[in-house]
Amino acid sequence: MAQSFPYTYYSCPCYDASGAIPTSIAAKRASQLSAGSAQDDDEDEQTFDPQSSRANYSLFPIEHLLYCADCKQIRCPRCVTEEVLCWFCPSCQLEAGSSAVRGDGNRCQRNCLNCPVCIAPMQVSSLKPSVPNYQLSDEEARGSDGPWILQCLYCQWTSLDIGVHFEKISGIAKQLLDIKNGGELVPPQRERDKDRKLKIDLLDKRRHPDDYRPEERPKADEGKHLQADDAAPTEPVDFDEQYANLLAFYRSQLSREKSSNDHSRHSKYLSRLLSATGRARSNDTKARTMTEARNVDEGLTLVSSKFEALKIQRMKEGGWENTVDATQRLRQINPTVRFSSELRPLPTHLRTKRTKRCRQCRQILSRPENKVVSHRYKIKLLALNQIPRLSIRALAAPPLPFPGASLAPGITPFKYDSLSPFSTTQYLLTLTNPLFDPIKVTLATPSMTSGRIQSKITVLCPQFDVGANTDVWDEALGSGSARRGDAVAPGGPGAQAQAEAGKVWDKGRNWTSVILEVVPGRFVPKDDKTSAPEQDGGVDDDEDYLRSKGLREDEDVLEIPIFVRIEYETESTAVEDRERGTALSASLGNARGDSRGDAGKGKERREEAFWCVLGVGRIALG
Amino acid sequence: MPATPSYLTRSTSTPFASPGGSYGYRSTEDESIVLEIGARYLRGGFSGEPQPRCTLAFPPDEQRRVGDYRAFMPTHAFRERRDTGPWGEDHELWKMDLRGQDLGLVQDKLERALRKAYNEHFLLDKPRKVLLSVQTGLSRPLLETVLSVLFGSFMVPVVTLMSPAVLVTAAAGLRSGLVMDIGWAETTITAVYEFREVKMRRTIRAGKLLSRDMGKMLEHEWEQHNAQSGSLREAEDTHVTFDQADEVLCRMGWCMSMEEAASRSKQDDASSNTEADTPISIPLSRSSPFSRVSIPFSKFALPVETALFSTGTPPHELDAHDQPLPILAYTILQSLPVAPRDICMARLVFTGGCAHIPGLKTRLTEEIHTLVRDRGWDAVRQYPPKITPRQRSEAPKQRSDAPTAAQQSVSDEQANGENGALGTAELRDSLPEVGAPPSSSLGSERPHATLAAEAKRERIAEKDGPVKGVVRGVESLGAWAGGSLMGTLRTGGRVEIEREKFMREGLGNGAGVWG
Ligand SMILES: [Zn+2]
Ligand SMILES: [Zn+2]
Ligand SMILES: [Zn+2]
Ligand SMILES: [Zn+2]
Repeated sequence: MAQSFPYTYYSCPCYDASGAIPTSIAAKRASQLSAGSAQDDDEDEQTFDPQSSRANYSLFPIEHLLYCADCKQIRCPRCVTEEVLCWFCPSCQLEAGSSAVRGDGNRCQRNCLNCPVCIAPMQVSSLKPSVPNYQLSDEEARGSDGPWILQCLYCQWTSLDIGVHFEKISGIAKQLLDIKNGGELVPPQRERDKDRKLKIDLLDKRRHPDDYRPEERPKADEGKHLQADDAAPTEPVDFDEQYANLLAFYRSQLSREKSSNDHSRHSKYLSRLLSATGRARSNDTKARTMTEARNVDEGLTLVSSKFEALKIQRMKEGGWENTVDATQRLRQINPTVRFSSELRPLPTHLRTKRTKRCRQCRQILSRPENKVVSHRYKIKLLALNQIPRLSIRALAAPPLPFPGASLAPGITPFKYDSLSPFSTTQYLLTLTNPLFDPIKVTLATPSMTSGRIQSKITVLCPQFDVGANTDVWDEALGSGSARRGDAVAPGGPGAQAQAEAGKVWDKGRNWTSVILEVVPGRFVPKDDKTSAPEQDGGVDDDEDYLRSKGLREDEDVLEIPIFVRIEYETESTAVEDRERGTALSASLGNARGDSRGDAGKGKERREEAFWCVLGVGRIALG
Repeated sequence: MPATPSYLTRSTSTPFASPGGSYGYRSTEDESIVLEIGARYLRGGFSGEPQPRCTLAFPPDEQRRVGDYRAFMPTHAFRERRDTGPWGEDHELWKMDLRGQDLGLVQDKLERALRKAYNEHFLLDKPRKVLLSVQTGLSRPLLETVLSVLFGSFMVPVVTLMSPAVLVTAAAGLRSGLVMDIGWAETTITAVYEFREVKMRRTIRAGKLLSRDMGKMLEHEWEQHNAQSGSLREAEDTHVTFDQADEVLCRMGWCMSMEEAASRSKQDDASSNTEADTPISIPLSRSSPFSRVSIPFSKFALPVETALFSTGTPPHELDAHDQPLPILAYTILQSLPVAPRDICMARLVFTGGCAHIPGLKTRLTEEIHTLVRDRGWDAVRQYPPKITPRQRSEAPKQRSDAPTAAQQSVSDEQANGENGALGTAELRDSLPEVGAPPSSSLGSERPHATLAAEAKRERIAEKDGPVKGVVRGVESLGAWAGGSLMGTLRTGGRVEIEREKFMREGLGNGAGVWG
């Protein structure tokens, strides 16, 4: 289950109208939309549909939302831009310099590696059984207790499963780069590059001896073996090796292109490579005599039936367990591995600390402290400090002293997971005001939920006030209303108080509760004619094949879209001062709330509106 | 899976041992981001590097709300979820068919995947240029959606568009070739000549159909298994979900050689020769994750036969859009002028997710070779009269100095008919050898190896000219690696779209971007 019921999600309005899409395209899209289906004339007033596929991308728990004080708007992870402050390894908590970051593939180069099977962090252990649970303590141990292996403490996979052990205890990730599965060492990159360049130069000289001065030309038998132009691989294609060969080959071609003049036959054939249209000048016939890669050293590798057959043989002999699953495969640095013996431990991904800015006005919304170990923020403008929090629970549910507390024994909890269809259930919707000004709230819900299960919704009191978030002491000292909701004896809250239309249920210092009445609908499976899909093996019966007739996932969850509008008056400068701790800026002009009717000086009328989704439970079937 | 026998007995050295690490990350400041976006996967990384930094899929579990952690719940692991929509649809970024496509949803999915790529894998301190490889046939609204996400959400200054077929060719070390992209919703076969796409055809015989056929096979086997193992489990729900079928396809799917396929179709399907058929035990049951179903290994090759080679479907029932792959490849080759055809047929390049199915590349090469051998190129012209395979095999060997009828016909059309006809003739010469019965054991060379040897011999004869007129399969590192190569080589001539301009006027109303 997504979140345990009941829950509230907030919708960020950026999903349909952000500045992300050029207006021309947005307009086109809108016209396509309205042409496609009969819709309400005013899109702004359209009811938010929590069941639509797009809803998943615009709904957030309020804790995930920021708030731009300048734009007076919620900002979700999609409508902020981010800047990296620093890179660090989440495992060893050490910072990585920005230059090192790029060279190391954004992975920790120390001893932080993750299990290729289950992704759990791996431990470096000594192969010597005399050192149980090795913990590195002194320099002496480093030299004497090797060799070392990587071991997953969760699933028991070890680097010995792929025949890899390490001589030194430090820089395991770096050492791993030089060891193939099976334990063979990789020759240093410099050597490989040198070797490759020699071969390519020699090939080139043999092919185009006229381009070289006599003394540079190869001797008769020099590199004769290379002349064979053998593209049939003698061992399975090594992806990285072939890439390096190709890169070297193209580099040599380009340098020939550069060094020779335009009349040479080495015309700019490569420069056409990137042209997506590929429109070549029609008279460009020179390119036809250009070389392509012609052997394995240059990057040309023929399909080898032998190695394909060997692969099939291995699949057959090793069975299911010897192959890797999709998740494991995609996590690998080489995402085309097939067999578990090809798995490699994964150096831990670095993470970043990032500054978040409002995409619209570039205002900084959140900025963590630079220190890696610190979890604090220098700036963090949370939405929950700016917009009212909606919380909902069944009226019949026994109240908890604090969230997450367990119920006293003997009290049956409310069964959010099986709401009975057609029986009216009352919910208590509480709005808590984080602002220092009292707010006027207007709630709107559709009377029926959309979708195949139609449930009836009524807000008994859609308009009400919520007090300001003044000092806690004000409430203690002030009169304070009777707190009916919490004061009732367990077992019979509904018996004592009757919910009345147009009346708030309860009210406190900066919160107000109203009653929401819900009549869950029932799912009636359609008796469709296609109950026996033809499985004739045709290619167009996708729609029928393997299609279950039941409910979609979460279709039985009762979610209520609710439009919340708040109005309040505030002192023009006060909000800015508090929010940013800086001097007043001229940003008031941007304020979304219009300033009409501000009779009092410095008082400003503001308005805020957003969609929420209340998850009130799952409807029982049957 | 935990597998912990004593390490001393572990066999670790294999011919498939993967390389030791990477050849170094090269993402200096001026390397660009390379993105390859397809219907099922997004690959992203830096130019100059052999592997993408991330390969991201679009499964339903990635499409949940923020704060919805059910994908991590233990109960979720056994895939209780059933598919509801059309087969595999909830794993797609987009459909090629724009009808019923919510562009906003495409934007949402893509944005989320890219955010993951940027925030978890790229970790950039400032925006970078993007080299983008998307299918050339991608509809304009979809392309606009991709670009608006890149420009709008990731502040990309410039996007360079690149044709995947050309990149795949470059990543094979070639400049021309017949690129067979066996992708998700469709297979695209493109003839690339001198880095130009000269011809392209599609068929729906691709991954989606293949995984569905795998699902059918699994369901059938599961039911049989239950029927045999007692009445108790007969009531078990044997519905195979897309996830299951897809995973079995990736792990166990393989492709028979032509010879195997032929011998299989001869023998009665019911009397399966079990002695050669190793049973593979796989976990399928959702209700009891530890119970397994045993399926003969040969069955895992059947979906490829039905889905990609349309075995069992009479040819007259096939439309233009669901041609089997070898036929389609042959048709394209046939429609090419002689010179590019001779070059392309010797450069079959396979790419796309399904190309990784072991045996498929070899099989396709064999099939295309057989088609070329049996039909020649005359079918399309009908003049001079068609030579039937039998006639041809009876005909005496001819050297190129004694042109055949077919040669004459092609050289008429040939603008600069220097090589083409020669190649064809040489191919014919080589035929009897190539057709020799291959060894049947799996570990040995398949007929294709003979082809390679043939090609080599011919090469020596031709003195360093490009190989042509024979059928060869060539390995490519794929479109992403091609983009990475081109990005780091920084060669000119490209379709560039600038952020400022796009945000102002979109793609404009002029000619299509692809020209
Ligand atoms: Zn702002
Ligand atoms: Zn947003
Ligand atoms: Zn670390
Ligand atoms: Zn593990």
